[in-house]
Amino acid sequence: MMMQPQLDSPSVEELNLQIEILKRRVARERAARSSAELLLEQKSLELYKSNRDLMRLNETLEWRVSERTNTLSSLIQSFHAGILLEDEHRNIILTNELFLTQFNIDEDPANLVGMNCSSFLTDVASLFEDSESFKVRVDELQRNQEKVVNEIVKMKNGRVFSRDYVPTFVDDKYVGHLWKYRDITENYTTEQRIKYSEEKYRGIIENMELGLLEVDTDHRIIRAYDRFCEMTGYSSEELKGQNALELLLPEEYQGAMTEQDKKRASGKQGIYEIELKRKSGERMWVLISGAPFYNSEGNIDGSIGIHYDITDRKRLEAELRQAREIAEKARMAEKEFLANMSHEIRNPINAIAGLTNLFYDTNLKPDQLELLDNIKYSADILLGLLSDILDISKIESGKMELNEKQLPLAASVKALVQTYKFRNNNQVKFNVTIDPKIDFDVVADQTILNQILLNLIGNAAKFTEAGEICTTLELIEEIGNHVNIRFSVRDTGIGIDEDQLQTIFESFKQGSKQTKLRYGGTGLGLSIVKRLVNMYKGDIHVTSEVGKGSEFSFNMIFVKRTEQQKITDQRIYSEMLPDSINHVLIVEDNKINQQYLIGLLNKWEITYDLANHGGEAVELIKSNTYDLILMDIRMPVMDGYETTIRIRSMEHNTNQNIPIIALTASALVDEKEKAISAGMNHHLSKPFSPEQLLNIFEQLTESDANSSLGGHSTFQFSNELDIQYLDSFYMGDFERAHLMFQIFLDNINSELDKLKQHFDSENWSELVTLAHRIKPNFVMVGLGKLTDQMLEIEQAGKRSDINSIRQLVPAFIKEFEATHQLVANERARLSEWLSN
Amino acid sequence: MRGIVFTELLELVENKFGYETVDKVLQKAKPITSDAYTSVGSYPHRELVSILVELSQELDMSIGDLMELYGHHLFGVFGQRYSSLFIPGIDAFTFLASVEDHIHPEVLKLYPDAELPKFDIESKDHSELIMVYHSKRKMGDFALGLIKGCLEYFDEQADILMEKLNDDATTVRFTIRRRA
Repeated sequence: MMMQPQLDSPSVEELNLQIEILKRRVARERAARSSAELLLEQKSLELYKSNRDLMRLNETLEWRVSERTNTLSSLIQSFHAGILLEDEHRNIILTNELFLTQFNIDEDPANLVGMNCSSFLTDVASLFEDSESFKVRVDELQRNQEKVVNEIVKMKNGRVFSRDYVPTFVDDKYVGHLWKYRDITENYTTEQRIKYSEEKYRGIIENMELGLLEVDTDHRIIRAYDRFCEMTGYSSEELKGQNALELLLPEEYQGAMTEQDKKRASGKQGIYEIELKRKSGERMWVLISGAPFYNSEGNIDGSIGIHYDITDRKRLEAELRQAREIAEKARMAEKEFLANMSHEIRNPINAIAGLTNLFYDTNLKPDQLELLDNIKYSADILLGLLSDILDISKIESGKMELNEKQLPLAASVKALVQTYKFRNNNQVKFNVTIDPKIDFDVVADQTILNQILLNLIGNAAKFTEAGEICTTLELIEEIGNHVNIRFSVRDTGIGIDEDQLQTIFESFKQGSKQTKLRYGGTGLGLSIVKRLVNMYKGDIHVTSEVGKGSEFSFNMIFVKRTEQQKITDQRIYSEMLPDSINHVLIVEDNKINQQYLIGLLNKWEITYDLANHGGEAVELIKSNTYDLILMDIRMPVMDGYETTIRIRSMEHNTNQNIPIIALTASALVDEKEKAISAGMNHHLSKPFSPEQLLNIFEQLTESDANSSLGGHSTFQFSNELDIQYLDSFYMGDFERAHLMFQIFLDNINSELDKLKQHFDSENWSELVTLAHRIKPNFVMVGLGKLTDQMLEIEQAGKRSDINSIRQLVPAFIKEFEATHQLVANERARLSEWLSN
Repeated sequence: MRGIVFTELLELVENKFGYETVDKVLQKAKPITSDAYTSVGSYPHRELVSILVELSQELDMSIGDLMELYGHHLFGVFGQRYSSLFIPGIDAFTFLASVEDHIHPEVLKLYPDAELPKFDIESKDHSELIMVYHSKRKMGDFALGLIKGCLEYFDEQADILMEKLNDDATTVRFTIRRRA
């Protein structure tokens, strides 16, 4: 297809055409060249301009870089740390004066730029305490190319540096690194010293068998010390990082720990005892003293607990507690045994003594009388021993009762000593010397006073073959109506060894074993004396010389009475046989006691009925009228308490308010209280003498007489109360009245609360039961109307008449609130009257 | 349009058919700017179209065939003239796939006013390359020639499937499958 020019025969037209084409071609080429030249010139001008701009930019940048380098350099120079900046080939880019000083290089920092660091390495390494590990570490750091700061390195000259290695990267490409050495010698040694001292104290604590545990604020274990690991059975690695509460604390203590946390959060220390779980699963008791510790900013970083193993102590405590419980039980058993013994032994002795008394009134031959004397003597000894033992137990349980009365002290003591004169041989003289200033009566428990003196004089007599036993009373002090009187009993007997003087007042201690063998006795006498003296705020002392004699002296504080009063206890019973008591009911199951009482009543010509237990008594009461009931407490079928309550609640029965005398085998005060609160009027502890029973008869008739006479020595119930009922119910026994008023006031508010609760919750059956139970209480304090209202409520309850109850209860409460203050007033009046 | 496209086309025509053909075409085409093209200049695209239209009549060839033929030739010229710009050790697929992201940005640095087509690589693995051409100049055939020239330059054998994705041929898909 190519067109070949025909060179052999070109025509003129053809040639002309060729020329035209060539001309046009030349023109085109020329135009193209000149336009190309123009374009190229423009382009090169552009390039020149660009180049010039680039050069200027370069200069600016260079200037900026050098300025920045200078700034950086001077910054680095003034840095308080040795700085060395190296490129990836370990050529020095920058360093500072301090770095060169640190490593003994005597050069200007500027001169070192560009030098290779490996040339210094050996020299520098030799300055380190451990040159080899320095080299190894430096290589390792550069190989890893990871930032490592605050590495502690030690120099041979004793300085300590903190080293930072910081690799530099440009677009992820490693281009070199920076070394920084900071001299921390001072801080380091201080820190070391603190650490050392901390460790020292921790060591001491550890050696004291105290387990230390450090936890952070989330209870993660930071550090567990050896002793703690030993205690819990975990290794320190096993504990580190664990939550101490989850790992070690039993569930039941988590709550207590939360409390402790709050305390610790407020910076308080705490000491507490808890159990911990050991690795083996066993529990252990520890005493923990926990305290928070703080960081340098003063914030709580965690806490440190000091643990002391108290497992053994806890076990011991538990054992002791158990032992105490056992001992406690044993004591209770002993107390019960004593109470039973008083019942079991006193009854037969009571019978022997009582029957002997009756025997004297029969016609006896002289030899029979002698035998009877011997029986009586033995029974008395037995009684004495028994009452010694009972006295001790009474005093020890704090239940010894003071029965104080006005008595002429001088006359009483003289009479007491007098009785001894007849009991002893003539070789011992009994003398009494009484301070003439003691011419007054005192308020005292004659039984106790007699017991003290009889014990001391009896003792003296026992150990004195010949000579004299001298009883002396001396007024030491008199303040107001209180008198302090010193008693002494001096003998010329065998005396007491000095080493035995110390223990002579302890229970069951006698002078010596020989003494016990030769003279007998329980060894309780002096112990009782000491306790009785103490009851009168007194002290007892003894001085003695072996072979010459002893002197026991004590003092007692009494209230003095000068006013003359009739003396009742000197009377002969036949003279004072009360004529107001004619018909008596005996309630007693014991045949011998029955016989004793029957004998006495026969002798005094008083008629009687006999009930073998409470059930029979209640039946007899219904159809007979009595003046008095003698009531045993412990009986089959129905006991004395219940029988009394039944009698007191028998309305419209002539015997409802009859005097009842409790005859208890136990001498304990609480039995007496129980008897009184059950509604009995008097209490007599078995065995009792005919005189004691007669005394009670006398008191009853006296108060009866007093109340009927309305004499000034009688308490007048307020006429706002039901006087008639109160007088007939208490029959002049105002102490009992006082007690009953007090019991009423102590209990009535809680009972009323219950009543209101039952009413509010419409618990009618409980309400009626309660009404029945508290019904008698009101009339006993003279509020008969309230008792009547309670009865109405009770009766409405029996009819299931809820509407009536709804009206009656508020009416009752209104009445109660209007009148109950009267009871409190009356109690206060009674109290005042009794204390005068 | 870059001047080199004009100058190389005219030179190829001259070499094949003599300057008379070049002269005839240029005279018929009546370019507006000038009929003196230089490789460093830049000229309107429609002038190239006019030249191609005239050339197609003169040589009795379709414009498409002409453009493909010219593209094939032009790649050879690039290969000779700019061999130093070619990354050694790469193959034709890699080169083709890099046109959009490497060659064109470089061209734009030198000639900020250059108007270049756009290539999307739809998929590429060792045996197959699918690329889509976008240009309002509708020069898909020229691109086909260039691809062929490229394969020849790298001395590789492949079958090329060319699909017009729209009626005006501004979008064309090339599926280049390497021969086993």
